[in-house]
Amino acid sequence: MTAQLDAVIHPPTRLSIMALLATADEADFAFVRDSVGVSDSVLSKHGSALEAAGYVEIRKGHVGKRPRTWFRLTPAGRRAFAGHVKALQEIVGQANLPGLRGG
Amino acid sequence: MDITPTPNEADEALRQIRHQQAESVRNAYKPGPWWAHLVLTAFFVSYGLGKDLDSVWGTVFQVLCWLILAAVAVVQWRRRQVKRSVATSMRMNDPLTWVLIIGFTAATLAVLFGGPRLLASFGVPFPHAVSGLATGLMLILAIPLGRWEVRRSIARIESGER
Repeated sequence: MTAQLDAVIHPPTRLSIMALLATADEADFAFVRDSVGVSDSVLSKHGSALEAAGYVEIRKGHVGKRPRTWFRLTPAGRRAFAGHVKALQEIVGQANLPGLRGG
Repeated sequence: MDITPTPNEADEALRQIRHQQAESVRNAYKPGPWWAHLVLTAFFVSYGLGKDLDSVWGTVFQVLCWLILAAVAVVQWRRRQVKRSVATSMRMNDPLTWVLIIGFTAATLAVLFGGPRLLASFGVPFPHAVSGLATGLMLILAIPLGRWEVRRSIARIESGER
C-alpha cells in the first residue's frame, strides 16, 4: 500500500506544486509561487528537485519582453502523483476518515 | 526513512491537493475580450453573405475576421498563467460536460450548414447570412456554458469526486 508513496513529492510544498500542475498543461512560475505561498528561492529549489527526479519540466521563455518560467508535469510526474494520491487515499480509507469520500 | 503519514496527515494532504487543483482550474479560465464574439459573429455572417451574394468580398472579410480571431487567441494564450488544453480537460473525465460540448457543437454545425436549406424552403431572403447570424448568436449564448463548466470542475475537485 505505502509502496506508492513517493518520497520526492511527499514534502507539502512539492505536493502542492504537483497538485497545481496536475490539472494544467503548464503553469507560470509566479502563479505557482503565489498559489503555494513560497518565496522565489524556495520554489526554485523545489522545482529543481522535481526536475532532477524527472517529474517536472522547466521551460524558460518570454511574454513580450518579460522573461517567464513555466512548469509542466512529465508523464512520469503524472504517474508518480497519481500513485501518491492513491496511497494517501488508501491510508485515509483504512482509517475511515472522510477524505476518501471527498469530505 | 519512513514517510508514511498518519491518517489525519494524509487527510490534510488530500485537502491541500484539492484546494490547489481547484485554484489551478479557476485561474486557467480566462474568457477572451467581449468584442471577439462580435468578430466571430461577423465571420459567420460574412461567410453567409459571401454565399448568398456570390461575392468574393465575403471571403475577404472572413479572412480578415479569422486573422483578428487568431491574433486574439495567440495573445490570450501567451498571457495565461495556467494553460489548459482539451487533452488536459479530457483527463478531468466529466461525461456530462463532454455530452453538452459535443451536443452544442453538433447543434451549431446543424444551424450553420442545415439552416440555409431550411430557410430557403420558406423563402427567407439571405438564408446563409441569417444562418450565419444565428450561429454567431448561438456561440454567444455558449459563453455561460464555459463558466458553468469551470464551476462544475471546481465543485467536483473540492468534493473529491475526481
